[in-house]
This record gives sequence, structure tokens and C-alpha cells, in this order.
Amino acid sequence: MSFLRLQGIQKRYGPVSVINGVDIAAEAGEFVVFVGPSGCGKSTLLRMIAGLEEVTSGQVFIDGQDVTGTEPAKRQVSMVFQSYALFPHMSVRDNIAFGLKMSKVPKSEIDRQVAEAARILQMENLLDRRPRQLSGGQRQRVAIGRAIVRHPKLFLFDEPLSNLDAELRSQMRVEIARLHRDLGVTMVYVTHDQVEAMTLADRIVVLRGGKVEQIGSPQTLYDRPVNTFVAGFIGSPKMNFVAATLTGRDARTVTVAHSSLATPVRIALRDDAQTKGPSVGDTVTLGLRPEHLVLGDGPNRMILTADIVESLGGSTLIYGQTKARETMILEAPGRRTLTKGETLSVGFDAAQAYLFDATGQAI
Amino acid sequence: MASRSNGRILHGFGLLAVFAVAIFPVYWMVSSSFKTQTDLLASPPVWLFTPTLGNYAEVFADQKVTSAVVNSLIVAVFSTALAVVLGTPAAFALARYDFRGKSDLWFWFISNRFISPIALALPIYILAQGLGLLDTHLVLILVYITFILPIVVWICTDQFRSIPKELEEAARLEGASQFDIFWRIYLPLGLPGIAVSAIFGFIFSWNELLYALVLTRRDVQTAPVVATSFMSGYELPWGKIMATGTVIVLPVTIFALLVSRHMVRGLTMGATK
Amino acid sequence: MSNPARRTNPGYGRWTPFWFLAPAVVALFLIGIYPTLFALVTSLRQYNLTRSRDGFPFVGLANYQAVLSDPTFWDTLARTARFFLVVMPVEIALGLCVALLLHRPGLNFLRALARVTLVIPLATTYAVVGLLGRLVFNRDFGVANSFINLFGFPALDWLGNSAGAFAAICVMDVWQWTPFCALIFLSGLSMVPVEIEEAAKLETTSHWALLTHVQLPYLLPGFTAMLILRSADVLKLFDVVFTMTRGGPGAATELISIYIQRVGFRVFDLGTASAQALLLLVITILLARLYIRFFYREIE
Repeated sequence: MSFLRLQGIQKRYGPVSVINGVDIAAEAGEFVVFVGPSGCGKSTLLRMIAGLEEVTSGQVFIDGQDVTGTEPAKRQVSMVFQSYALFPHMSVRDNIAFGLKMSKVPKSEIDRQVAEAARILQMENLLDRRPRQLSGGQRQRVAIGRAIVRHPKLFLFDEPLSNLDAELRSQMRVEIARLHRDLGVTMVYVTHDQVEAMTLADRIVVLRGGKVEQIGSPQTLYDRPVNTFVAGFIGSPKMNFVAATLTGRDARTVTVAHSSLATPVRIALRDDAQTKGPSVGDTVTLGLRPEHLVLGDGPNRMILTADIVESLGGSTLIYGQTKARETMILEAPGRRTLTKGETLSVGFDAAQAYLFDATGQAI
Repeated sequence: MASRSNGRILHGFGLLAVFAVAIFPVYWMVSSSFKTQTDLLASPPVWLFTPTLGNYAEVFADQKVTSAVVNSLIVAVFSTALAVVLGTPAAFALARYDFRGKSDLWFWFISNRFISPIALALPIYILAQGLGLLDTHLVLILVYITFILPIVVWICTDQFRSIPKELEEAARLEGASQFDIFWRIYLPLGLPGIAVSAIFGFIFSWNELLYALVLTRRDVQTAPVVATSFMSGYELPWGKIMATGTVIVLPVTIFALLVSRHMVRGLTMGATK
Repeated sequence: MSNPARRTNPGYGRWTPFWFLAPAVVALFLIGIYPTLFALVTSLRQYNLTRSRDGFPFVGLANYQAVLSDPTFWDTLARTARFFLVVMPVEIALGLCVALLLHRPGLNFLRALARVTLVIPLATTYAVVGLLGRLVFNRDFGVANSFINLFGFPALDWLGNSAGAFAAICVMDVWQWTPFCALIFLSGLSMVPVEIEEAAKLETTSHWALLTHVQLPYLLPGFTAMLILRSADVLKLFDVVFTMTRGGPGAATELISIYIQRVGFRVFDLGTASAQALLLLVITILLARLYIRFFYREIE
């Protein structure tokens, strides 16, 4: 039995349906990330685990117990909010101690717990300050401190880093990863940032329109996305998609052609697509990651017309156009200078090419 | 450029005129309170005179005035405190809960602002007489709640609604009960709004005349009632009246200046934001 | 699906709102509604305290009949309306001018000073305003007379004649309530986005065009609010007039609240006064509904 299990979860606000039947399971100690564009229902889902949002139908299990009808406070979960939700009129110490005070823990025990949390988060010197005297990163730490003193079964994070600047964000990301390693507790983390999802998660849940698109490890999502949405969402810069035509097929492979491809490419089918899938003459989507494209090298070649070049310092993003006027991006190491309109020969390995049928499903 | 500086001069004169007109009657009252009866009755009125503290000496020696000020203070403080105690939980419920009839209830609270005191004064007079409450602090304190409570409810509801909902959710996850949330989160964070509404409550009850006139006889006459009572007899003690007026107006003016930014909000109860 | 045991949220029990609301509701009910119901009963009886030996017999709607056919009641209502029609336009016009003066950029110190001073008339104890009126409009040593003397007019016995007394209470009301209108207009003006105002100033130099085309839409909500609030206040108006004139001379300044108070507490005819008060209450509640319907943002 999984440690956290959501089963057939639905959520409606009157006639508007925001979560349409979600099933998720996570093991004890896992770091689970819900990721998706805004409005996909990821925060609602998290709030339903916390008990802050009513479940229209379905069940929530934590540690083997059905908590669907349980008060938030009795679920033994802690949550870190996007706005941190620190009590502005209380000192850091009182903020951290609030939950313990509410559950009538003896004073000496509270002091001990608060000191312990402050030590873990290295903020012993901040305990007597008010939240407004703290920087964003420090507030974040207090919010985490308030979460850990209660020794919850489950940690919930609702976009905790989105109010921080880029540098602090990556720093706090590392701290959260370290915290997860040290405490070994199950964490559920909501973000719209796929980089956070890729770097933190043991298991990623990609959501769109209140439905689960795919669940899997970061590697699985990167290597074997089930559809164009997941393929486009995971990875930066975004995967290139071009419309290609299926020109041949046998049991395990297909051949696809595109006006910019020098020669048709032979690509292996996924196991589940070998019996069904499109037939010769169908239009399919060919997906190529920018980092898999190599300028002037590789077994399969594509001819592009150069458009713009963006230098990132160590590497360069090159924007080119296919003959069908589709924009392609490729990431090349080092610095390149190109003139607009120059013809580029771009190579790739067929093993790193992705294929999707007309409905966007991976084949 | 000439017309521009003319405009500036006009603007300055206009503002000065506003200032002068707004302050003049109060200035006249305060300056009259330092005049001797002879100066007061001078025709035409004198603008320059030797000030005297005689009127104030007389006012503070008059036990009627001093006890009236104490009465006013008791009534204003207790009615305001009671309205805050009753009104803040109601405002919390209106700001945070969803229940049937909520907007009707809210309208009912607010509509008390419109009730004419004379419409309530009569039945309350009869009831108070029956209960033996006439001429007591208690009856005034209770009656004043009818106009202070709507203000407290209005301003605090507004203030409570501006408190981020995540604070409440965080507290709930930490195991706080609804009362804990009200007591430990909303009350301390809503303090500025509560203070503003309490100051309005104090001003309104301090200034009230009609109920006080009708419901008191001798023992608990409030300051406005006593000031009014000097207006009989042939030769009016103008210096004493003006000194009493000054004593009455001074505290509320200070309070009003404290909440001047919220004045319109308090008087219209948020019709204009 | 609608199994109530599973409705975990919104985190409070069905009766929780009730416990928070009950104290205020019960208090307002006992102090506000119960006496009103009592007044309703009283208004159906003959209830004259000076003739209490007769008992307080039930007389049905006789008191209402008497009130509605009492020319004095209608006169005082008409006088109250006249008072409103005199003071309101003046307060609006002056208030708008003051608001524009305060809104105009520049002279920051003077503007702040004038703005703060406006609060003083609003807070001044109404009864004291009336006492002041007595002094200011005194025939012999009032400063009002020495002011009109400056312009060559002869001294008037303001409070001794009908027109003068009515004018005097109007002046005091205008003094006290113009700041109210000014502050409402000012908050309306401050809602006009600065860019829009500046864009308009590039197009036209006419203050009038600026006012009517750019600022007016922002002033309208406040305008209607002050009309209805002030009309409710005029129906309540008692303190200033009572201390200044007691409704006199004759009935020249007897507004509705003064009249009901006289019937109730100087004649002690509580039955009739209750009927009058209830009629006034109905008028006020209608006004309140109107006001609330128009202006309050619905509490969702």
C-alpha cells in the first residue's frame, strides 16, 4: 500500500470542473512534484491533500488511513505557502511554536523543538525578529521551520520559491533537497517551473486541465514523454516539433520524411505502438530536442535557413527555419556567428528523435 | 506665465478661505471662552481683549459640569467597548464565513445607521421607565450601541477581509480552532481597523444629545445636555457656556484629527472608497 | 457524493457563524427591534402620560389617522424637505469648489492644512454647534451682524424672526456639512488616474472641460451617496436646531425630529408620537434600502 494515495479525485465548483478524476500514488520518503501550467489544478490538488479544499468525489489516503473527511489539523501534514503565510504580528519564535502551542505541548518541549528547528535551518539569530524584518529567503526558512517542528507525516509545498529572485531560488532549491535527504520525510511539491521539478523530484506528476498527463521519474518524462504536451513541457529550451509524413513502416520501425530532411529517417516505434499506430501516408509529429541537434554533424541531416542567434555565453541558441517555415531551435556549444539566410546542415541521431501521432500521443 | 502665477495666488486665497471658514466658529467659541461677560456682550464684538480664565474656573467649580463630563466619559467608553466586544466577532463571521442570509444580515446591521434616534427614543423611554432604567448610565450605554455597532461591524468587516486567507489556512493546518483564529490572528491583525471604529464610536456617543436629553433627568446628564441646559434664563452666562463647549469639543476634535484620513469612510460607512 | 460526513471543509461547523454573530444580533434585536415593536403597539393605543388615569385604551389606527390628517405633521415634513432643498445644493456646490481647490497640485502645506481643518466642523458636537449659532447670530453682540455690517447691511434679529431663524440654521448646517461633501468629492477626484488627467490637460486648458469630461464620472457615485446620506441625516437632524431655536420662533424651524420630540416629550402624547416615529422610520428604512441597493458592494 502506498504512503500517499489519491483515488478518483474530482473537484467541481458548481458547474465548473477543475479536477477530473486523478489517481496518484507515492511511496514513503518520496519527493513528489506536481507540475503543470497555471490553472491545471495542481494547487487545488495539493490543498485537497492538506484538507483545505473539499473533495467533490474520490478519496485521499495518508499512511494507509482514509483522511478524506478528516480535519486539516488532524492529518499530520505541514504546508509551506507561496506567500509563506507567516503571522506578521508574531516573532519568528512564536511563528514556529504556533502549532505546538495549539496542540498544548509543554513549554519546555516547545523551546527544545524550536531550538532544534532553528539549528537545522541555521536561523538561531533570527528567532526574536518579526517576519517583516526578514528577507525573502529568511521568511521562506521560517515557513519551513514552522512546518518541521510538528514532525508531520507529509510536507506540502505550494510554489514555495516563486516569490524569490533567481539566485535565491536555486539556493533554496538545494536547501529543500538537502532537507528532504536529511529528514527522509515524504514531500509533495507544487510548481510551474519544470527545472524545479526535474531537479527535486523522485517522481513528477504532469497535470493539464485537471487531469494527469503522465507520472514518472524525471528521466522517464524526459526520455519517454507520452505525448507532445509532456514532451514540450519537460526540457528547456522546448522540444522542436515539425510535421512529417510517414513513408514506410515495418514491425518495429517507421520511416518519416520532411521537406527539410535530406533523406527519410528510420525511427524505432515504442513497444505499445508496434501493433497499432499510424499507417503509411499519415502525418505525424517529429520531435527533436534542441540539445540533441548538432551543427554540421550526425547521421541524419536537416537543412535549415538561419534566422537569429542568441548567445548564452558558454553556448549558443540558433534559430532556424525549415522549408515548411517551422521554427527550430538548436543549442550549440561555444560561440557561433551566423548571417541571416545562411543555410545550415543540422544532424541528429534517430534514437533521440520522438514521434507522435496526429492526436499528439507518442508512438 | 502671468496667468499662471495669478492662478497660484487665487488658489492660495481659496485655501486660506477654506481654512478660515472651517475654523472660525470654533475659534470664536474658544476665544469667547476667554472673554469676560462685558467683552462678550460688547457690540460690535471685540476681537482683541484681555483673556481671562474666569470662565474655566467657574466651569470646573460647577459640579454639574464636571460630573456631566465624567458621565459622558463613562457612557462613551463603555458603549464603545461593548460595541467592539459584540461587533468584532460578528465582523469576523461576516468577513470569513458563508451562510444563508449573510447579505441580509449585513444590510440589517448597516441600516441601523439610518434609523432616526427620535423613532427609537420614544419606545425606549417607555421601556426604560417600566424597567426603572431611566436616568442610568446603563440605558444610555445600551442605546448608543445601536449606532456604534454598525460602524464597528462595517469597518472591521472591511479590515478583516483584507487579511490574507493563507494566514487562516496556515493556522488551521497547525491545529488552531475557529476561536483561536479569531483571537490570535484576526483580532491582533485587525487592530488598526478596530481602533478607528472605536474612535468613531467614541466621537458619536460623546456628541449624542437626543437620547441623553430624553433618557436622563438629573444623575447621569451628559455634557451636551448640561451645556444645553445653561440656555435658559434672562441673561445667559455666555462665557461659561462657551468654556463648557470648548471642554466638550476639545477631546473629540483631537480624536477626529487622529482619524482624519478615515473620516469620510466612517461617516458614509464605506459608500465611497 | 453529498455525504455530509465527508464534507471536510470549509473548516468550520454549521453553527460556528451563529456563535460569532449571536451576541451582536441579540443585542441589536433587544435594543433596536424590540422597542420598535413596542412602539408599534403603543401607536395603536391612546397613550398620553398626562392623562394616564384614563388608562391606555386600544384605539386601532386612530393615531395614524390623526397624524396623517394633522396639517402640522405635513407642515414639518414640508419644512424639512425645504431645509434639505436649501442646504443640499449649497453644500454640493461649495463642497465641489473646496474639493477642486484641495485637489489642485501645488501649495502642499496650505492644502494639507485646509484638508485637516475640514475635519473639525464634522466632529464638533452638534449641540455645541447650536450653542455657537445662538452666539454668532445674536442680535446685539453676534458676529454675524458685524459681518453683514461690513457690507453695509443693517443688523438683523436673526433668531427673532422666521426667515432669519431658518436662514441661521441653514448657515450652521452648511458650515458643518460642506466639509463632508468636499471630502467625498475629493476622494472621488483622487480616484481619477493621474495619467488620464494629465493626458486631458495636454488637450485642453479649460478647467470646465476637464471637470465635465474627465472628472465627473468619478464624482457621480459619491454624489448620489451624499444625496441619500444627507437626506437621512436631515430627517434625523435634531441637536443643532434644538439648541439653537427649539423649533422657533413659532414653528419656523420645527423640523420633523423636533416636532416628534415635542409631541412625545413636551406634550407626552406617546401614542401619537409613536405613530409619527414609525412613519418616520418607514421613510428612513425606504431610504436606507435605496441607499444600500445603490451603493454597497455586495458582501459576497
